[in-house]
Amino acid sequence: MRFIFFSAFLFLPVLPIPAISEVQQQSGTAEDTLSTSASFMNATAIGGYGSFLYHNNRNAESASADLERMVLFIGHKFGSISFFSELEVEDAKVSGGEEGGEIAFEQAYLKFNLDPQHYITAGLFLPRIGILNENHLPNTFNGSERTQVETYIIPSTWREIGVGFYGGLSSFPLNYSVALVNGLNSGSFKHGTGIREGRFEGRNATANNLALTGSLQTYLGSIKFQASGYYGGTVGLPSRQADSFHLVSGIFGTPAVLGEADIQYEENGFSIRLLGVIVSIPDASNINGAYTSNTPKSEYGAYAEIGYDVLNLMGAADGKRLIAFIRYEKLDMNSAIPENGILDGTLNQDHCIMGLGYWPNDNVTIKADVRFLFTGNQNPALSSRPYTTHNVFLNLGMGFSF
Amino acid sequence: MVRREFIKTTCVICFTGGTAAALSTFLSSCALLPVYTAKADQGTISVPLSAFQGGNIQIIRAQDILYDIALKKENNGAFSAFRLLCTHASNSLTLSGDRFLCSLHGSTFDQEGKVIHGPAKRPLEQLKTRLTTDWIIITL
Repeated sequence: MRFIFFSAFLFLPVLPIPAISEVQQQSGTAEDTLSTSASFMNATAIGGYGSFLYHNNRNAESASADLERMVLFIGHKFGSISFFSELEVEDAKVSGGEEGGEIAFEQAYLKFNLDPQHYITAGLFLPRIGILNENHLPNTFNGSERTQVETYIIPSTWREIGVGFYGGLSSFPLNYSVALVNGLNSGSFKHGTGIREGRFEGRNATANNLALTGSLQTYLGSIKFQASGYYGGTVGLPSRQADSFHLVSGIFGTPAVLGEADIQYEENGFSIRLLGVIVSIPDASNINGAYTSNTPKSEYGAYAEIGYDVLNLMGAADGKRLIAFIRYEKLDMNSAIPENGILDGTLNQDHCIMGLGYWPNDNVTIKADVRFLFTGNQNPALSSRPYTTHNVFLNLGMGFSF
Repeated sequence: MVRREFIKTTCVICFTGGTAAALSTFLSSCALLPVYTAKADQGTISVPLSAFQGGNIQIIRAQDILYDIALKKENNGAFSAFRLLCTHASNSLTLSGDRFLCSLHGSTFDQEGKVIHGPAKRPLEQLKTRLTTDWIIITL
């Protein structure tokens, strides 16, 4: 019944609707105002984005409807220096004692433009790692949910405090970035979520341990290639305290290492995204010894997605898009475990997602998709609850940015 | 042991050779960007017509100006100039093939400055140009 209700809600906008007025079409996003001619060097902009999700879990026989996130963007340009911020409320409400909900600054940084090709960012920002971390507006990706690989292996949105240098070659389409940010907290690593729970996200981050990230991007016509990496310490404790846990502290002590590469292509209605990432935590056994978190020694993930704009085939040129897509994701959050780890087959996952997304314009999207999940077997040493190695999820979503 | 070493060495040589060949093919297919360095003077930049001998588009870079300018020669001999800043979040744009790409959120613009792919909504900002005998004058 709930499915029928949400389906009806979803497909309503596909029915013929009055054309959006010319004024609205030209209104753009609020971030746009940072670069309008009249206020080119000094401007304040307010904007944002948000996404709703209906999620049906067949095995659990449960369903949820959630205002996943609503983000308010505020930016200001002080001549050659700009300020960017995003304040996010997750799950619509944060109330005393109730589970869920979060209010957090997703970004708050200053950008110092050095020349046309180079700038420095300082503050709380999203390093260039993977596709979604830097570019996660809901109207810029297929599927109601963000990819599993870029949620659990690359813990997007992964923001930390630090300084970044971004640039490009003057005579070749090659962009690069390097950033020094605070490291992770291995004390917060949680079984089944990789390094995700170790992020500080700008809140009281330890600065004894740091991380270095970098990326390279290049283009060949409509094909974009990117490779990025992360190397950072995961123990920010004072050395005496770290010693008592038998952990190595220091700038890059007990490191986590991440390597990623991706390719994006978009032309004539076709879009392709390929991404692979591997994470290594060589001293995972020490982390397990200190915190019994069953931290893996390595984990990896990869996905391939192809999409096609059906309206492009029909020759629509009014900015509307109806994209059918299919994506296969493979991830294993314990592809290698240390001697004191326990293998969890449920973390070896295959996901197949297929669905449709309708864009009445570039800034609004309505999505419907189904995700098939296949996992390895449950380890009885970890849980004795009934477990099925396959599941189906139905998602309906809506996203916008302004 | 000798056989293992031989296979290992052969694999390394093949991999290195293959990578070098692929890289060489890739780099040779990527044309260098046509960048012309100029000087801004009293809110204008002057570009000589001779800068257009190799193609119909030039990236203009000027000292103290924190953005590049795309200067395009139209079929009718007129010139169009665009500020190469993404109209979404003011990030600089990179010329690749026949389009301008934003490295930050992926917005794509054609050589007329129109949005091919968002999230940018507005076209690139156009700058005024005028033609003298040997120069194109861009007003900032």
